[in-house]
Amino acid sequence: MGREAIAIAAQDVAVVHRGGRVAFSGLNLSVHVGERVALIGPSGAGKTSLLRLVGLGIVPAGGQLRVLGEAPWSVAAPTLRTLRRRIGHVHQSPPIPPRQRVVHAVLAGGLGRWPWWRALASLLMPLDCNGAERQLAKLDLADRLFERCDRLSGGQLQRVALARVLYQQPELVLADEPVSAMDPALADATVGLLVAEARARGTTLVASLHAVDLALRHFDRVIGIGAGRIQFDLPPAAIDPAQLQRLYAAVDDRGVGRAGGPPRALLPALAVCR
Amino acid sequence: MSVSRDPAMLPRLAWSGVAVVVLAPALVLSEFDPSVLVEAGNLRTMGRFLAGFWPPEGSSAFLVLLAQACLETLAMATAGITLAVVLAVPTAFALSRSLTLRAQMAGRPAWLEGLLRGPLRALLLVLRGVPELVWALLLVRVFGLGPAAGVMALALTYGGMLGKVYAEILESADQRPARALLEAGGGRIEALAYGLLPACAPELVSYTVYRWECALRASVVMGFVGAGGLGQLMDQSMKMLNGGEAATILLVLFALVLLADTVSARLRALMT
Repeated sequence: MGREAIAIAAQDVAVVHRGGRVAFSGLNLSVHVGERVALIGPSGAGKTSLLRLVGLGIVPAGGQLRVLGEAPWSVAAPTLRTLRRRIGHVHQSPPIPPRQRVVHAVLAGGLGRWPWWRALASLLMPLDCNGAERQLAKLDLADRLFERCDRLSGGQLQRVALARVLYQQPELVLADEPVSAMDPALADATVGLLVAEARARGTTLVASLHAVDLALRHFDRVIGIGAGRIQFDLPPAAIDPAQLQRLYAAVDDRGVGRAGGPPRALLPALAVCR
Repeated sequence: MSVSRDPAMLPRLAWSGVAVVVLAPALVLSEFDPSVLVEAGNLRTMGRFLAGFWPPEGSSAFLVLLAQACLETLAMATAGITLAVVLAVPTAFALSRSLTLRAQMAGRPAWLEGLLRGPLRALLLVLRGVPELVWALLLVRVFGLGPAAGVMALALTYGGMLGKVYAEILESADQRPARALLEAGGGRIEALAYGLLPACAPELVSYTVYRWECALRASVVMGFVGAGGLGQLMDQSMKMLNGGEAATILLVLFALVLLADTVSARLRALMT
């Protein structure tokens, strides 16, 4: 278990998008097992790229990456697949087919551990309705179990995606703006649940958030990402408003983002949901 | 500040030009000249031919024969399509690129995919490249006169078509659900069932039913070369210059196509 105490270890990692745009270079990051980390920073700063890198959705262009004790890009295919099952990814827009029913969308979290015939049988007759319902109940959606996903609101769909990851029971949860379509109160409760679940099960959680106040309130470590670099990596108590100003102001320097005036709603005191 | 130009504009204009340049000579090469249709002599010839079709034949002896042939055609088309689906589903499943992570991401060599897909693609190409009529001519020599040859011919040609189109339908749907499942360690079958089928099912079903409609018409044509059913009956009627019988057979064909259309519409309504 000694080596496994580190959940994510990135050394000098570079990520280059197709088309040649560099998302990251020289990235160094270390996250311990059981840590709960929030990523904040302006849009386009690289939060999604970082999560996709750790979630094995992008192959790094350089450097060393270890996830849950494995070096994903030098192991054999079966080991890689097993590793993928240990990582739960909540995508920015939930990748759930609109015509799928909620029960199947949640049970899809079990596909990694089910044999294929069980997966097919479950489409005819859901094999673990109770399991799906239990996860949905935590998110206040138990009554939508047999609803079609295209009948749900954006925030409800995001909660279905979260229920899927809870059902998957991974060792590492990566959540990319998991509450962006929810109102502030619901977003707060949902992030609280996600963190509490991670704490209860001892899983590692890395979540990117637009709402700075949520990051500061719920997480024990906050990483500010701007312009493809880690700008700060601190416990919330050590972050001061000036640092936040600088983090979000970096966007204005590049000539994109907000035109004129001070960046709005950056400070926890003024917190706005998105 | 100048407005930046759409980088997609030039290629789009160029391709539109290419389309015109390629399509225009096709009309010339196929010697297509609509004015021939309305020349007085030709109109009269067609009129006389069509007049022979009236009145449709309605004798009970013929109707019994017709009902038998109609059932035979329905059975031929349905059995043919069923076998074609049996052939197409596994090939489309193996061919569709939407069910694999890029080789690098799945941790296997890239040449492996080409090695598996090349021959499959070639097989589908040969199957649908040979028209069902030619397959039928060939198979009648094996199975003898009758619908069996037609069923087999439909299975081969339509299996090739369905396999190709199924794979393309799967590739044209939103790929993110399936990719998310693959990235979470799910297998191909699971990614298909949970990631792609929910979005693709209506299109897959409606294309299959449309192909069944085509198979109905095709089985009539194959009847002319001895594969039984309405086509064979039509062939006999035409050879005996019995236009009335031919007219009745055509009416039955209309009814069959209408039936296929209704089935398709009902199924689509059920699935949305």
